[in-house]
Amino acid sequence: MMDEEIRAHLDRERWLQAFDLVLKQYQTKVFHLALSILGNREQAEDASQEIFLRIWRALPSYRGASQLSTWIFSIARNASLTALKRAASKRTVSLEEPGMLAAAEKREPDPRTPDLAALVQQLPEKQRQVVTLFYMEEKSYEEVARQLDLPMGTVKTHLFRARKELALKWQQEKSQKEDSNAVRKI
Amino acid sequence: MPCEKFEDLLCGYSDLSAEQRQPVDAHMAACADCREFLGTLSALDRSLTTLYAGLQPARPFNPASIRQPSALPEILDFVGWAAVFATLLFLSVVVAARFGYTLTVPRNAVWYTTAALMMLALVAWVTSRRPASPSPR
Repeated sequence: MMDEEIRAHLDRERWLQAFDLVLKQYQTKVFHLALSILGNREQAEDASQEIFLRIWRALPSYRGASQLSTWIFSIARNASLTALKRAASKRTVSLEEPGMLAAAEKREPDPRTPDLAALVQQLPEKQRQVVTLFYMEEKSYEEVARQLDLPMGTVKTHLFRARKELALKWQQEKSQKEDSNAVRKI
Repeated sequence: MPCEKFEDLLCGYSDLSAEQRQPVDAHMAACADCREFLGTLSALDRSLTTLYAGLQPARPFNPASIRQPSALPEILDFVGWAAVFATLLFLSVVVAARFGYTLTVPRNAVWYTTAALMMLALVAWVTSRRPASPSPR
């Protein structure tokens, strides 16, 4: 519904009104997509600003050939991937750094349980993107497929593998921590 | 660690039909490792939900930072394209003359003034196509 309203504004070249609705409808989704690709909250915040500037500048060139959401997510993906490459070249992000999301959220890690955010960061790139986006987007396969431009089957496969990998590693780390705690008590 | 045979089935346990669950449930009744693994999967789901669900951008985009993409009247666009055409024509004539082609470059002041004005119009047009200030709401 909202997309139709946005398109109606675009058809009449009411850019500001259209952009207001784009922000309202896509701000959180675009942030989630950027966060799933970048894996770092601060960078995702910066990328979101850049994405909406790009969307704003490109609004007059949107011709309606694809769905508005497809167009927006494609800008968001491209900008996030560019930011990821830039970050990788600057080496500002270390994948060894544990729990980037948790750190961004200023959560104190519980010494008894494994750092789940760190385990997620160790997943292969696509699996990491799918698993984070899946939980951010309230477990919707359709939304993840749309945002990452992947077939639904591929999303399910990535998610299945990611959960299996995470569960095995989590269990392993948990039992290691329990063992070391038991040794400390003795 | 879960039994290898049941590992994948446990990972997709929530998607299994009642019929498909029967052998898995029967196995779990006798296998503590697989029961524990299913428990880990549920805990993992809950933890991932806690970790990621409901995350909102801390710095929402400020619409005040944007500017109007193009607020040009159509007539200005026409003048702009005319200026582009005139400039290209002028440059072609000059370049052709430099390379010795038998084109005569007009030397009167009116011609040059017109060309200069067209180039100024081009610069003005290109500049005005950049985002302008947002219209007041």
